[in-house]
Amino acid sequence: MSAPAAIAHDTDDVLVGRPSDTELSDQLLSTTWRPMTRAWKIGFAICGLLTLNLLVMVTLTVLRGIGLWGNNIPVAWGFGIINFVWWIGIGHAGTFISAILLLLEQRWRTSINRFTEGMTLFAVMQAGLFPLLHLGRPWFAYWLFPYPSVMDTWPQVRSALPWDAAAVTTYFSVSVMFWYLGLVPDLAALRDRAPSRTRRIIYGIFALGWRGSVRQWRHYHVAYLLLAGLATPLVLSVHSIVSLDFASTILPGWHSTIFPPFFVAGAILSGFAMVLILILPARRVFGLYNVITPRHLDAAAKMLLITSWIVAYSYIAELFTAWYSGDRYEVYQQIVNRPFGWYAWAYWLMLFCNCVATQVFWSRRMRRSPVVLFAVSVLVSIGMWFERFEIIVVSLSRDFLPSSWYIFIPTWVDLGILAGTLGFFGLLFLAFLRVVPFVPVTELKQMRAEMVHEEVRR
Amino acid sequence: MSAMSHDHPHEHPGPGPGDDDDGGEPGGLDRLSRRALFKLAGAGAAAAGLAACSSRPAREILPYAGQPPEVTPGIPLHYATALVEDGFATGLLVASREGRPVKVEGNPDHPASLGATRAIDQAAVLSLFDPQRARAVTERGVPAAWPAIERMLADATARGGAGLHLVLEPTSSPLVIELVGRLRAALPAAGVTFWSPFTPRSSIAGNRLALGRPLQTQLDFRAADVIVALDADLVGDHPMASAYARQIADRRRVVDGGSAMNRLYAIEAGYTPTGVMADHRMRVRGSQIARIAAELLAELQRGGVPAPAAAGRFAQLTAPPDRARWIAAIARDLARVPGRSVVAAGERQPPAVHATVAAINALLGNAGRTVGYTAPVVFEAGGPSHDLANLVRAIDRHEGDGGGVTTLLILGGNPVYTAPADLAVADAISRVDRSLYLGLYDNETARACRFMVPGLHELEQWGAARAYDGTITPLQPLIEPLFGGRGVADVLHQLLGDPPASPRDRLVQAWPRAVPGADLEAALVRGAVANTALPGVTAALAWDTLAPALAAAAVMPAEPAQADGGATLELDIRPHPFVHDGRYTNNPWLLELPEPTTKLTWDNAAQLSPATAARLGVGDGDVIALTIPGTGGAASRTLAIPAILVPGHADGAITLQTGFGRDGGEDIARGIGGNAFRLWTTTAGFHPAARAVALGEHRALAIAQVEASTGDRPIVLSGTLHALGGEAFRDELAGHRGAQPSLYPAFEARGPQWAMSIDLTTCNGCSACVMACAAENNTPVVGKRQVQNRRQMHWLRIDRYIGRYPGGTTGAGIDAASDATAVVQPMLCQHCERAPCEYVCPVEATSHSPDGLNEMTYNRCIGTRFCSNNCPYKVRRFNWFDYKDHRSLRVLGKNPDVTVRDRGVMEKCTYCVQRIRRTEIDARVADRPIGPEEVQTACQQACPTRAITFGSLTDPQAPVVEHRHRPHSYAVLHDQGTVPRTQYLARIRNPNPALDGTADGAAGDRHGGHG
Repeated sequence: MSAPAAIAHDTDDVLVGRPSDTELSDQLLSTTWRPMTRAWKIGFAICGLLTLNLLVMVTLTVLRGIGLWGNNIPVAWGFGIINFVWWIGIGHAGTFISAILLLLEQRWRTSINRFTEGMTLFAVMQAGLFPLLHLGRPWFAYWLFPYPSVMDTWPQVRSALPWDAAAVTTYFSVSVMFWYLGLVPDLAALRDRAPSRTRRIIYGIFALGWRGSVRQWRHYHVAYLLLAGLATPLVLSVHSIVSLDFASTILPGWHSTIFPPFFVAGAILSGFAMVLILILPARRVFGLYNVITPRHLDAAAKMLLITSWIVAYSYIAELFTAWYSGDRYEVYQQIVNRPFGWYAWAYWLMLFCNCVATQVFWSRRMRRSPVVLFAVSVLVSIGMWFERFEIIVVSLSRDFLPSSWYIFIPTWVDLGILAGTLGFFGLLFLAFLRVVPFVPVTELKQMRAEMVHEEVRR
Repeated sequence: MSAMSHDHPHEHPGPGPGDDDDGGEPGGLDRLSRRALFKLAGAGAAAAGLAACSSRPAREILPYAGQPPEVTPGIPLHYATALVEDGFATGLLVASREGRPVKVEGNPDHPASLGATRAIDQAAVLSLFDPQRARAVTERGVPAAWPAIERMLADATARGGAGLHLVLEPTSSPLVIELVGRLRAALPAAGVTFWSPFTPRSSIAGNRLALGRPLQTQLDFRAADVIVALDADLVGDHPMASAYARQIADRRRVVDGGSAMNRLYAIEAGYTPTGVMADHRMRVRGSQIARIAAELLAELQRGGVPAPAAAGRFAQLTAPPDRARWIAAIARDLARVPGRSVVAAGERQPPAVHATVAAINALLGNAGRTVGYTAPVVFEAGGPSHDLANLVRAIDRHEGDGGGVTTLLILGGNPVYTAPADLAVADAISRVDRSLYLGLYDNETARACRFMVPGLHELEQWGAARAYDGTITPLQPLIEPLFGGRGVADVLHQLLGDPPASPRDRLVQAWPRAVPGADLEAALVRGAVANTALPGVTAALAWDTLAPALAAAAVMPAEPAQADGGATLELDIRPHPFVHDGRYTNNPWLLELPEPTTKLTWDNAAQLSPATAARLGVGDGDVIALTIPGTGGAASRTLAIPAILVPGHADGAITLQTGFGRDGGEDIARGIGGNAFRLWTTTAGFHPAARAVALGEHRALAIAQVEASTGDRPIVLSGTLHALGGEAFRDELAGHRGAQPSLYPAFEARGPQWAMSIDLTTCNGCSACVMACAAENNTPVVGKRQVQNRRQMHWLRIDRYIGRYPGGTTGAGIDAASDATAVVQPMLCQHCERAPCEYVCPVEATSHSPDGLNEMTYNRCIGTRFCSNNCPYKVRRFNWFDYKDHRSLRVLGKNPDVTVRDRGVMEKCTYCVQRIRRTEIDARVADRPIGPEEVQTACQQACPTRAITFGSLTDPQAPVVEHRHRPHSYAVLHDQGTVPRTQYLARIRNPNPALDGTADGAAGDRHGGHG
């Protein structure tokens, strides 16, 4: 383990030093059996409590009805859908890093891909709760899927929601497969190195008989690439389809063709922000300065800056198209209601977090400062949540007929469920840190070998 | 379901007549075929499964076996009866389903209904089935027995009525009047008082001043070209409101720019439905009306309307400059159509105003044409027996000389709550040893009395009453008394020692005496006895009493100086349009129904103009303390009540509605709002010098609409009749209807194509349709908190927008924010041909029927609420909680034709699909086509002004087709391409060119303005 001071801030290396395979294994596999730190335990306890709170809130909601939420008519969607879109957005960074950057042969993805894939899975799990919970009759949620019903009834395919359900479940299953496939060699390594017999048996089962034969490696690489190819369009499609929940309507503020790319960019922005929020403390707690180097942070910050600009462009485009269309409802929504209406504060907060705060990353020093990165990432996460708040609540609160305009105020159940999913997400994540190596050891070893090879050749 | 589970097939083991596949095998379990056995086993298992889904009844349920000959399960029967309020009957037809009254409709043969109902009438079923009605005779709250009361009554009779005092509600019932006559003859010492706070008094006294006799004014708007309502809510708060609304609306039906329209001027303090309908509305404090009436009379005289010399120096009176133009214009308009106008004054105005108005109508030649006079319909109306002070005096006398009242019978009403506060009625009652209250609820009066006897709802009664015009109206029960109550007549018969008889027999016996020559059976079938309206009385003006009254008005200052430079306000007390004097406050339907012009629910509030509110420094919900100074040594009285801002309200005045601040035993009514009767000191409707102070507290109100401006969106289109004759406005309107391009294919249209047309010119916002919809479609009540959460379940709502027309409304001290004009718009599912809700539903729970209905399949709905988000009209309603009310008595009033919706599903207006389907079935059974107006939606049927038209677009005879071809038919939000099946007829005004800046052919109005 290297001390932080040993790593130069300006390094562009994705791996500091050239640790041997054994060193890497010792450093990165041991996280699963080393006694956990106090910080981990405290975090786990807090997240556990919040998860318990989530259970209570969900039970209440299912028993009494979603009247417990703040939703009303006109604002029939509130925290439920905001949280859904937010979590799904966060879930985008993982696959983006794993699949797209893999295909683009970006080396810096290697150390963080397992981590972000885990984050993706857990975020999608949180997201998946909401479309279920927000239903008036959640026990009939399966009607969204085309199953062979004796009544000969099918989902109504002009609606965005069955596609939504299909996209999210597909994304989740592909992400699980991708993540698990990547884990197999590391699970095998754990089977071989874990200290106790029980662990070795358990990891052995999950390693699916991986022996590291050339034949297995060949299959492994082909499968991994194929899955990456499969996951790549999903990254783009999932949030595009989610955006159609809004874009396909006639509601001012929703009815917009820019939504699919805008949503994908926003998703990647929030996803990278969440990656940084999770990885910076983990890097510190587990002393991973050599494998998650300033080069990684720099790359992530650049992604934040780029996607932030795409998002900013979308905001401007929304304003422009509203003005240019001359549509009175759209003009009112975009140019009057959002910036100056009941929720003006949320609009300006969103703009600050998503477009202004990220501008610090023009500076290389800032891009490599964990503190700045963490702070801006938190702001971006908040900003992206409020972006969905803007789209959903603010648009609905003032639509066509002023007679039905009304304000939405969340209840303690709304807030409790949001906090609960944060806790549940954290709980899953902390468990993940404990159970599997969150830096892909095998891939890192392979990358190190390639790097050494290149250096020798040079 | 429970019934099914008990009606299981083991009771009929053999094959039934329908089991043709068993080939007539003899019955008996031992001879069952294998097939029949499986059928029975399957049915038994299914029944067991069904039983498991619902709570099992404790005891066996009996099937509906003893079926009366006229009853067919599933087919409603209608019976004619009436509701009686303040002594006046409104004829109704009540639908009965298997013995349960479930829906009230108006009786087309009844002059006070003309087939329409008020919101209050629609809610009658819920009052009948109110689980909080009094159920047993009690003595000081402890269950008692009727014989104790019989002894008490016998004792009072034995003493020849000495010490006996009765308080009745004002009555027009020939039966009760006969009993009171007999009682007075038999027990001459007994006192009788009639009390109801809002029965006509002032108009009768005013007519006595003007015409020398106590007479009741009868208006007829059928031939009225110009109508001036002086603080008179003719279409909202009047015993004939439904009929008057119809008559006024009938003269305002615009077919095109060439149509003739009457012209309605409303001069009032608070905003009323009459003000909404008016072409010109002037806002003035109530106390100014007297002066305005006098100014109008003077102006008419100057304009050459002949007046006798007795009018004297009156002609010199002129209006102050800010309204002189108005008075002059109105006077010219009235003089233009002699004998074809109506000037009406509200009941809260003092007798002098009514006298002035009578003089104006006489001078204009209206008397005998549009304005008639009859003897009062209510027994002894305007007489001394209608003064509640008599009761207090009688009781006080008792304390002095040992005589007076020892037995007090209060038969109906709620005088402890409704009495003017300066009469200490509750105190007085408490001093009477033997007091009895007969009524529906354990209310304030019941609690002040020793005995409480449950009364009868009108739908449980036999009886008779007169309509406002005098028409005899029989009452017949729809159901046996639910709680064994007794009627007023029962107690009077008991007092008179009459032998016991059933209420029906008593009606049969008394009928020939009460209504000579009329057949009771025929009357019960029709619901009214024709030609029993009271005959008109011609009465010349009695100048010797009238002249002093006019002279008093002539010396009234135009703007009475307020004592301390505006710190005092005028307090204006009026009945709430739905809960009236508090008698309906325990009816949650009426509480949740938004007040027509303030949109306030579940409360009353101090209504004031924005300017006055600014002066007091209050906004909606800020509590103010209203204080009435004490007079004659009495302590001053204060009421703390939240404010509500009403654009268009008169400045310097506060309107308070009665019926709230109840303190009886009714759980729903108790503790909401403030009791306006506490500030009601005399029978005059306004108090000139109330003090108002902001308390710095806030009480959240449940206001059903917060944004009042249309933001200049194409929602309510309006313009003048003159403009409708011109190209510009017609072209503008034409741009709001017709085909729109769409990417989606049209739905497959087959059969009739249902459509609706709503005339905004005749809609006054009375909200009868909203209540009718709730009653027809079993929509739940959600309560104040959920209204504040914006979760009302009304399928039909009335939107109220506030805008400004040039010259539309004006008043003394004109102020831009306050000088506003309200327009109302019933908003319900528009049944869009290209419905945005349909394509977003993921499970196809909302879809289009071939006959053009946007349908909801409740069982398929999973509650994503996506449809509501995509509905530009926001007419969809969601069951946020489980609103089913299975365990309450109220379930008896539900319409069995309409599913009660489950938690978590979306619902909305269906165009009363159950009525469409019933008519279709009837037509098919009779093998005939459906008539052009045969299907009536609930809202349409209830509407007093017939503003709603419904029918099939495929039927060229259907009025709705003709409506669509009118130049001012338009679709709300036409620009969204939804192609709604509900279209509106733009609101057309008929302003006086002398007062209106837009009358010279401009385009439509703008409703941007103030919000």
